[in-house]
Amino acid sequence: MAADAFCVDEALVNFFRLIRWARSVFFQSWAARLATGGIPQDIYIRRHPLLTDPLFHGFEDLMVRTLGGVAQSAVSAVEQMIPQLAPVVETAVAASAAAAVADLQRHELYVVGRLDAGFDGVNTQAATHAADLKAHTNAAVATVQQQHQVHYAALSAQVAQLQALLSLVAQGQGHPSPFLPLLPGAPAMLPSPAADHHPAPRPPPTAGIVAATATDPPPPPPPPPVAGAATPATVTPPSFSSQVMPLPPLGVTTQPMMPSPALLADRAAVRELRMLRKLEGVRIADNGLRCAPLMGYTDSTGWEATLDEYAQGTRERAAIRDIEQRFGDL
Amino acid sequence: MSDLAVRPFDAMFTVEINVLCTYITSSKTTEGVVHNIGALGHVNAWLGPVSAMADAVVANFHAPGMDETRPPVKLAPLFEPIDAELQAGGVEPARYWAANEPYGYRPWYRVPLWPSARGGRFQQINPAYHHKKQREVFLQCGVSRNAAKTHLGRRAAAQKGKEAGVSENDIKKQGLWNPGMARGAYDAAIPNRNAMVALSGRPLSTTSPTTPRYQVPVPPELQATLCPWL
Repeated sequence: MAADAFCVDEALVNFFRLIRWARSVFFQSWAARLATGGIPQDIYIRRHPLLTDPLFHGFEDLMVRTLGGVAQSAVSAVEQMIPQLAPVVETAVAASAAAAVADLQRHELYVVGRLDAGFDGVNTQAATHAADLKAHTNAAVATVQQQHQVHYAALSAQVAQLQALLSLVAQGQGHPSPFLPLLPGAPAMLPSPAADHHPAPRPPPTAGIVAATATDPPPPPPPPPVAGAATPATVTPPSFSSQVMPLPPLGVTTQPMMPSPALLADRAAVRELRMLRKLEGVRIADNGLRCAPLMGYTDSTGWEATLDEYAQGTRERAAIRDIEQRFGDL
Repeated sequence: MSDLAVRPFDAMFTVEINVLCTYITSSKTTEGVVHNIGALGHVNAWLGPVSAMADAVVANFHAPGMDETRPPVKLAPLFEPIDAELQAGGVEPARYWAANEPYGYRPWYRVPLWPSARGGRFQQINPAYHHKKQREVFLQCGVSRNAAKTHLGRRAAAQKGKEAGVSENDIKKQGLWNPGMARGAYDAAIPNRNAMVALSGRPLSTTSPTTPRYQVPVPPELQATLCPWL
């Protein structure tokens, strides 16, 4: 193959470029290496012919100054950036603090709201439970009264039967027994013959006293006291006992004990002042009706202290202005 | 020396930075694909392939007793080399195949970065001798006997890259481990950016990995003292 003027030995061009780069890199590397601390001056590499050149000594000084300048310029750049960054950092910190305070206030208000909602829920539940307890008690009382009526009816039936037996005994002797006076308060224990043909509503037990006559057929033998006439199906309860009287409340207050709106407003104002850190060390008066921070006056009578006392408040004393604005109606 | 080149990869960094490229045409497992392993100037002046390359160039072309006024090897291609020229280039004439050198025989292609201590400039270092001497240095530096091997550089590069946050895929590409289809066929000539930045002692977020000491201009007179024939 013959040589061609249009051919370029690209590999050789790359090789020359590498050699040119190495010519700088060699001196730059050794100048930087020798500029590092702890390198003795009589190090063997310094005897290399390329590094003994006076030009290299000058370049070594230039390298030391440049690297030192780079470090100094980096430090100065940081120092110059700090004043410029200071307002930015301050603004960012202030924004973060404001956001944190806003979050704190929002969380406190949220907690207060949740507490109020919780109290409302508790009061509602208490009212519901009280109503349930009342209904249950009424039902229980009605059942007991009904059982008492049944027992009373059975007992009255037995007494009437006894009276009828005594009357029969007295009729068998021809005279009614003077020892069996009719009980004025006893209800009618035996059905009248008319009532047997007319199963209409029976007269009330208080309508009169059943009088056993001699013409009445002999009554059937008395039924067993419990299994016969004492059953509720055969004995009509007295009319007065069919009505269940409502019972008074059992001491459970159905209306929740809600604080007054003025007290809630006072507490909200106190809470707001606390979140603004204006009530540090200030005592709070709360009697259940109103709530307000206690005011106080300093011993000094100077106008500066007076102004501070009015506008900003003093130690453990709230500002008079804030108290007047929020609790002026006290 | 012909496996090395310096190239700027403009799209890789925000400023023009020289990258030392090492082209590998064959390895223990692959052959025929040109791989490119890039290197940047290390932040430590005592470390890094770039400084080592400059030292190797000086060691090769400024050996004691060498005529520095002309290249130590013939740079022009030899289209019909004689046996003496082949032997001077470290090639046995019986093993020279002219058909394998279509663009001529270039002796400087065969200049090794680390020549043998004995046997001439073109004699490669004996692997056993290389292993022995490097092991002695490693042991003197406190490296354990298990790790004091010539492959410690590959292991150290992989570990440093992993410590710096380089992905495992990039580490594999840098070390030519299981390079895959794309790396093996198409983008093999492009160095791996993350591996380069991490192994130069910089964080991966560095966009302009300039080396301050390489920005100090060397006087032309001083440059001319190295390889003055150029």
